[in-house]
Amino acid sequence: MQIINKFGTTNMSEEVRRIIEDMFLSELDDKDKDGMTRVPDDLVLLDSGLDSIGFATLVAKLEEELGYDPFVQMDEPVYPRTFGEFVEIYEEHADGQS
Amino acid sequence: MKRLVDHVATRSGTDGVFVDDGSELKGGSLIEVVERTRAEHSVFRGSSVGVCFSRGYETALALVALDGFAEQLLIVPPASKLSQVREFIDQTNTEFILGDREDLQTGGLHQADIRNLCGLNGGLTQKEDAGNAGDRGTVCDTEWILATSGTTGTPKLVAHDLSSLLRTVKTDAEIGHTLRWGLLYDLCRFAGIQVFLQSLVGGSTLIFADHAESIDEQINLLLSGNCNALSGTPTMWRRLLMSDRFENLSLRIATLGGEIADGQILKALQRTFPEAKISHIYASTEAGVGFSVSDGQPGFPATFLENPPEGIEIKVSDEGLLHLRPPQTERQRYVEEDLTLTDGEGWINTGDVVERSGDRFLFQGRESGVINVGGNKVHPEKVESVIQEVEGVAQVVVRAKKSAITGNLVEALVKPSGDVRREEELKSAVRERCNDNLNNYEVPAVCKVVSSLEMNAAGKLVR
Repeated sequence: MQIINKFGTTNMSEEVRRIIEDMFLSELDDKDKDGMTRVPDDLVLLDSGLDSIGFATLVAKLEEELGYDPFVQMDEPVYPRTFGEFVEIYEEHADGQS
Repeated sequence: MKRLVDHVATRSGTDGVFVDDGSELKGGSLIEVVERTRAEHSVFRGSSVGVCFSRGYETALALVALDGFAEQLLIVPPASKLSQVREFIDQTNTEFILGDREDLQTGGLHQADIRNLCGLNGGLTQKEDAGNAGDRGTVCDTEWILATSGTTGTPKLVAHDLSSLLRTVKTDAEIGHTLRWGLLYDLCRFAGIQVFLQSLVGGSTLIFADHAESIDEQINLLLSGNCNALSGTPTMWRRLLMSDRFENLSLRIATLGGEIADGQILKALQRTFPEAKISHIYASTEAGVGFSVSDGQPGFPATFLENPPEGIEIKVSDEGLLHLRPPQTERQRYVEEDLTLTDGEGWINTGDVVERSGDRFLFQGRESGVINVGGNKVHPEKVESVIQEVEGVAQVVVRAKKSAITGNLVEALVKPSGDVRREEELKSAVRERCNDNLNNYEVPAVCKVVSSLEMNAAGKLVR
């Protein structure tokens, strides 16, 4: 079954990933961003320079953009350690969006 | 009544009382610091003294030295603006300040003489024996003055005596000696003081991790200190759980406070630390500790109304406001004379709204609309007034937006004036103004431009 999202592509994961990466980068200070344009999966979130409020803001902005907040949706709480795990959480809960 | 230094003296002089950056301060040495401080600052005896250190460790030493020695002990949050410190000093007639802030030295504060706590690590002999009780110069039932942030955003000063602060401290020494508490909170806040007092009076060791610059450093301090008891806000706990080293702690006690503890975080903690006793504690600077809930569920059991667990009475008003009545022997009060802490019958209105759900009461938030962002109180009115100043903003409403990470975030809805430029420019201007004038947790995380804002019958904007 082909899934066509609002971006007109069938690879939903790739689009979601780009959005999350761009939004993540926009939340970082220039100093912490350090010229990064892509975010590697193994980036440890706690080392990224994003504090709790920055992280919460990122999730709130992603909710505006993607239409869902997986941290609210999840039954079992999961606390992502790396950027890759963070993106995975979004991909896993994508079906939950209305 | 036993002062803090007396509690230290009842322990063995070789007991580790504090751990700071890897080195342990034993009871005997702490007593020496106290005696030395009192001898060198004898003018503090019977006076009103303020404490303002950037680190919890120095604050703790000052508290043990001054309790029972100074008549009044004012704890100044180190981040307070100079004008705020002046205000606190005036209200309490504080005569001296022990601290390490540069501007307090030169601020030309009326009546305040700034001295630094000296000789903490150099030249102390490690006393094996704490010595006989002797006269340590205890002269006063010191009044402790703490700052809270009241409903209008201007910090209020609340006076406590040591007995009210120690009301719920557990004093079983056998258990106490096995506990090593980690301090994550600022020691100037009520929660930090509770952890400090529990550790000191309970016969435990306190590991200072409040000054750590990163979560990694915090976890390093806790692991190397062999922390097995920890208290934090739900937001702090969620953050610590993002590190895979955190589960290496062998926690026996995990407590939550300062924010509404939701079912998710309680579940996550129980899963990560299956041996730990998990409790969430309801307390306020005014009322002190209200009660503790250890059944793994958010909110509290309705049975607490008839059988309150900790010696404080609990009731819920018709409007759903939680009220507490501390024992009559306690004499907390607001320092400002025209403010009353309790109603005519000794009840304190906590300002927290609760709602009955089955056999429990669940917390709904503050009555005043104060937003709790990761344990920090944000007053929507203050944020609104900052945003209102931005050119192009006709009206603004600031409200809470629920967050699974920090409990809440701040959200701003802005109605632009007729001639405004593009939405993005306006949002950018709002963001800039907020960043320049507000604390980071007060800055709206989400800003929406809307065409109209809801107004109620009284003509007030609805949040």
